[in-house]
Amino acid sequence: MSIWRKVHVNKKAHAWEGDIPIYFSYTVGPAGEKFFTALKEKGVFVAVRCRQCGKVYLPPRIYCEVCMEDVEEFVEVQPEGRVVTWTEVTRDSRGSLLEKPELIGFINIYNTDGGIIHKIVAKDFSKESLTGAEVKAVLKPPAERSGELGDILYFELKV
Amino acid sequence: MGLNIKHKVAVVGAGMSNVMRRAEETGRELSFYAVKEALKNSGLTIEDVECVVMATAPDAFDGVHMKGEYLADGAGAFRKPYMRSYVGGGSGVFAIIHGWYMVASGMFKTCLVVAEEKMSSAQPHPQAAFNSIYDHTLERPLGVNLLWIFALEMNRYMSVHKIPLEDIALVSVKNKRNGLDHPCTQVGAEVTVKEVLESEIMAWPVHRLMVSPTSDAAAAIVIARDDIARRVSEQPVWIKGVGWNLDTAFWTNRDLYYPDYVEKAARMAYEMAGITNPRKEIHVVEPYDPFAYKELHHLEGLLLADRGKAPELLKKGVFDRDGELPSCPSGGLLGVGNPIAAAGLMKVCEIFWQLRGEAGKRQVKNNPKTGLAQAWGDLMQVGTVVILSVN
Repeated sequence: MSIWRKVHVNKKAHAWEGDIPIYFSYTVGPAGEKFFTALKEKGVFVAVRCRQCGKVYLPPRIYCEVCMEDVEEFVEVQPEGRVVTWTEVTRDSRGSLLEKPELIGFINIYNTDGGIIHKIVAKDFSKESLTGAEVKAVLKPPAERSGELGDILYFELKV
Repeated sequence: MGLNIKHKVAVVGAGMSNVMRRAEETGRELSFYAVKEALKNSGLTIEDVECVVMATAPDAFDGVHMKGEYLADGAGAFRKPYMRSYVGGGSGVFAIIHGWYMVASGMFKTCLVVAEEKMSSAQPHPQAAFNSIYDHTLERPLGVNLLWIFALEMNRYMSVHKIPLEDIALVSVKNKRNGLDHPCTQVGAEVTVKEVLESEIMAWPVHRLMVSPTSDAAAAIVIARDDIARRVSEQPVWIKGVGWNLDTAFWTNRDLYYPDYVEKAARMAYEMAGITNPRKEIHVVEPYDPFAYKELHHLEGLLLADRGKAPELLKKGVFDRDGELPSCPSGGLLGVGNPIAAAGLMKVCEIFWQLRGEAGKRQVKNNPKTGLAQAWGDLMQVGTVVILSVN
């Protein structure tokens, strides 16, 4: 037999409990600084255009992944766009039921080749019409923003 | 070992980012800087690159799981065949071996090899990540960290050969001084043996100035098949030999005073390169020097010094830039910095520049034709070796 021994009950196995005692401090990089500063101070998104291939990156970066050249033409865009795809989640990452289901969408931001994944709040949405729907970001009030993803509360349907 | 290799392969470009304690740039951005520099002097463009190899050490340093995938776009791998190469600290030199394989096999004509590490993301210190590379039931409960593992090995090396601490301190003096001439340096410095020995004892016999720092950086090289290399480069640097080897991860089952696995890796590379007398045929060497004694330990494993005799050669100046066998002319990990995987590829870059006579103030004086870079790592048990030559 190819499986000659198997521990069926984990509790009977002698184990040492361990963890990896570490946490992280991530820099956002020079392009990330521009994005989050503009979000905090002006309530807009920053994208960047590659002069060589014309691709407009959002979130912005300092290089074009296609051309492998520096990109420096930063542009401000309104935090509005269209839902490319979405899901409605019912459980959190530990498997517990959410109090109420949440809509999560991938939103292509207008005038860019990129987008952002965030929560969508939409009352009375229809499954048929959410894909392709126009949405805009709802931000925290300027005084409460700290320059992070959470400054965007959610996206809502544009009326 | 059957040597039925299809193609000759050369390095045609090399580049790296600055090495620093805490970079503002993300790991992707550091990778981009290195790739851009490597491509600039290679005669090739990103369109000419047929595949990409990325070396980056534990995910826990950058704090990004599947770090290879995360870094891919910064490494120039957008919609290209891409593979991650990983043997811990040995990864930087393992990566050129991997890249060589991609081209020597006939699979691809060109390969971009990138190595990156951003250790400053890990808090409070990357030592917490190092702790978890050791055996979870036998070693980790003691709170093991890298310093005391190295200390045990260093003490064994010194005890077996009766090497005084002063001799080991000379490695720090040489490499930190060499590092002053490296434009990317983080820790180049003029220090004395006295200052090294008066620096804090972190785990006997390891003193603070005998330890390389944690660093953020990236390095890259461009590899091409012989026909392409001759066409695009005035001076291709040929990959003559590669070798790699792993010892047991149970470091209690071997004597730490000598790195047998480094010797095995070196012998493999020498055989492939047709080198029978490495002390005459290798003209410049970049052995892995994360700790001062490791350079000596590795020079012996590489058969470039008799066992226990590397310290004497060091004292005689053999390993200085103007010596018979310059060792770590870049400054190495002690004199430039130690961005784990990128540190190994940084050594490959240095051999490339030295052999082409492009090392500027760091240029060695013996007009080198053939050089060797070596990295080391995993659980103190991997050796990776590459031999490069302009002949």
